[in-house]
Amino acid sequence: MDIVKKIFYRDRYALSKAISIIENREDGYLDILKDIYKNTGKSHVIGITGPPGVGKSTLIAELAQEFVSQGKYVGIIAIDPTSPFSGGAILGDRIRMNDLELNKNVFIRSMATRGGIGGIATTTRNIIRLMEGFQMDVIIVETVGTGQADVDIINVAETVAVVLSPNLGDDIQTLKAGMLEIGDIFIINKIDIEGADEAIAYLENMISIAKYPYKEWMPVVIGTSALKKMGIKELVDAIYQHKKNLSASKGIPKRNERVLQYEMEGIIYDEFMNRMRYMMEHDPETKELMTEVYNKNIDPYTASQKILEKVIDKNKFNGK
Amino acid sequence: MGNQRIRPIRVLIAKPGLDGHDRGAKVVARGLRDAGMEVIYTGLRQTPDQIVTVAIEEDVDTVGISILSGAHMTLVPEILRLLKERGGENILVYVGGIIPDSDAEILKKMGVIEVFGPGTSLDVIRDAIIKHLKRS
Ligand SMILES: Nc1nc2c(ncn2[C@@H]2O[C@H](COP(=O)(O)OP(=O)(O)OP(=O)(O)O)[C@@H](O)[C@H]2O)c(=O)[nH]1
Ligand SMILES: [Mg+2]
Repeated sequence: MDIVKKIFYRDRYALSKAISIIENREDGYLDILKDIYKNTGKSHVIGITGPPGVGKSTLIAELAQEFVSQGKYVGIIAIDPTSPFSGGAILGDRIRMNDLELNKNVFIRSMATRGGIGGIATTTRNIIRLMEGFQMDVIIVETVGTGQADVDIINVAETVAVVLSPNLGDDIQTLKAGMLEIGDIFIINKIDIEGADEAIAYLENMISIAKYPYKEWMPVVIGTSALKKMGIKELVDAIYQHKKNLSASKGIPKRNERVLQYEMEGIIYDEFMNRMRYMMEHDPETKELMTEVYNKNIDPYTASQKILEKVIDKNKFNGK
Repeated sequence: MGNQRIRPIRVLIAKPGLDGHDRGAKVVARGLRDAGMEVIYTGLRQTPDQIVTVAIEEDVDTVGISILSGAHMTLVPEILRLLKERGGENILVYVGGIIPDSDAEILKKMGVIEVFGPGTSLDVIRDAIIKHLKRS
């Protein structure tokens, strides 16, 4: 059985291997994506973002338990930053998800950003495809959690939840504008500690004056305690309600178009960069041209234009 | 076109058994990150079943098992057995902790690549991982 079919029949081992192939852009990765596309599109993709330490991972574990108790299959993608210096990463979100590890209805994968700058990796959207092809009912994505620049999540998720906590102090007041605009649902987690009511009231006020881009839905604020398992059902209800509202209106097609555009741009970008690097390093004519630029026989702008034409011309590009 | 990306080595640092602190495991995790590896860390008191499930799900190249409790002769063989059973036989297994030489020899015969005593330098651990991954 080929790998896409295995994934369709919920073979976890095949899913894991396929994720690596895509993540590493190994030979054949595009064939898998092409093939799996027909099996995708039915999962509800939920993005969870917010500053470090507010309890995103702990909350995701509770959310997943709730979805599972409703008979659903849940995929989780937990993203942590790649160190720009070493290229390595510590992927530690699973520490909060230990109780899910042996659950056969849950599949968790940790990812490093590997150069992605919007809070997710450039391949995250493709990995979501694989999980859709596995027929996950729900796919939850935890972004890096820098709290400011994780805006790419709106390009991969249907429902975006921004998590905050009462003890953020002044941070909550200096919330970057972007954060307020990407959230469909706002969560004040850790309501078991002091200051929760104030934080919720403050946030509700902020939201009422912020510009939210969709008419079909007004963002809601939900209080939760992942630790004490409070507010989880309310959160799940809000997530369902959001999807329902968007589906009933034109919201979902609009979002899906954006998601699709983002995914295609990513694939084109990767292919383009690969080709360009290959040409720069291996194509004799291009190298010759570079020498000419270096010797000032031709200017770099004209030369770049020539290289660009060659990169995108399939007949001229011969890097296999 | 050839694969232009370098695939980072993926490592699972696992802490089975009942011993209650993980300072050593965290130091190793950070050291391997600084050596360019992607290190998955899942916390204390993991069962062999959990460790192997995570290793397969995360498609790691190696598992580093840190044990101080003295239960290595039951925990490690069980992890090796489950890895084999579930298609993870190519995953390289290292053990770190206070392990008597005679036990270390037995564990290596069972398939453990290397056993590191307390205080082994990070360079040694890193080099061992890189060397063995190249060969396999
Ligand atoms: N009091 C309280 N503590 C919580 C709650 N939820 C999570 N925590 C604690 O907050 C800390 C951080 O939790 P995580 O789930 O790792 O937070 P995170 O947002 O995923 O953190 P990063 O991924 O590192 O950004 C842990 O010590 C949790 O136990 C909660 O509802 N109440
Ligand atoms: Mg986390």
